[in-house]
Amino acid sequence: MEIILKNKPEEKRRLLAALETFACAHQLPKPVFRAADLVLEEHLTNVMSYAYDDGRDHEIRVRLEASPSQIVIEVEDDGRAFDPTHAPELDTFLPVDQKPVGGLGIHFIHRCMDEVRCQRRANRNVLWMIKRLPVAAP
Amino acid sequence: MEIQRKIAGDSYELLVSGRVDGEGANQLDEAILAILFNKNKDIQQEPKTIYVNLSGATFLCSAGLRALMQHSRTMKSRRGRLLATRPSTEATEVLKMAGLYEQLVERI
Repeated sequence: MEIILKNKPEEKRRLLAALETFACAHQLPKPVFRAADLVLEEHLTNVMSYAYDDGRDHEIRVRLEASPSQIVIEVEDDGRAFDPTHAPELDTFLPVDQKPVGGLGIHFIHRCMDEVRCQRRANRNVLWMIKRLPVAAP
Repeated sequence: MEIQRKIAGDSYELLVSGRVDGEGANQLDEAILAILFNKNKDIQQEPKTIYVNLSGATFLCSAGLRALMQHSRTMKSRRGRLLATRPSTEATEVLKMAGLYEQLVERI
């Protein structure tokens, strides 16, 4: 499944509807759906908030693929170069007063997914977020 | 997302239902600011405790946590408290991943 979004926050509603259809079609377990929902919200918020500074409309391409063993979420944007796999690790043990307010979204992406890869190609960022599916009982 | 407000003396409870996504986080932020700074001119008593009831939160993202963290700090500086209560499964997962469950959720 592929969906093309404009860099507007309200577009995330369309993506959520598509994700629900995708999850239903592939009978994804609820925790897997929740993880996919969260990482898409976090990554797209980052892209829409920080990737563009020209005030123009841009297209963000999201692809969802499922196989018996995993789902792959691919997000491609033409914003400024950014690789979330190189973001510093967050110290979640800090007390609330000292916790940084930024970086939680990327932390969730790493915690929710089994594999996260990023590539810059032809002036576009491509992020792959992979979640392994639980093995069905024999 | 919807937010209902209950007031009991100097305790304020915000009952959140629906998705606390980016847009929902802005709503939550506004609702807390309205209490902290009496924006609607309807606050009779300085808030001592603000409870954010997350039992009806079907989704919670980092933007929602940021609102909770920032206003928890504001309340602390005023010698008050902001606490999350009764988090749903979805909210619990996210609070725990952020290392905030122990710090922000009130034990009942």
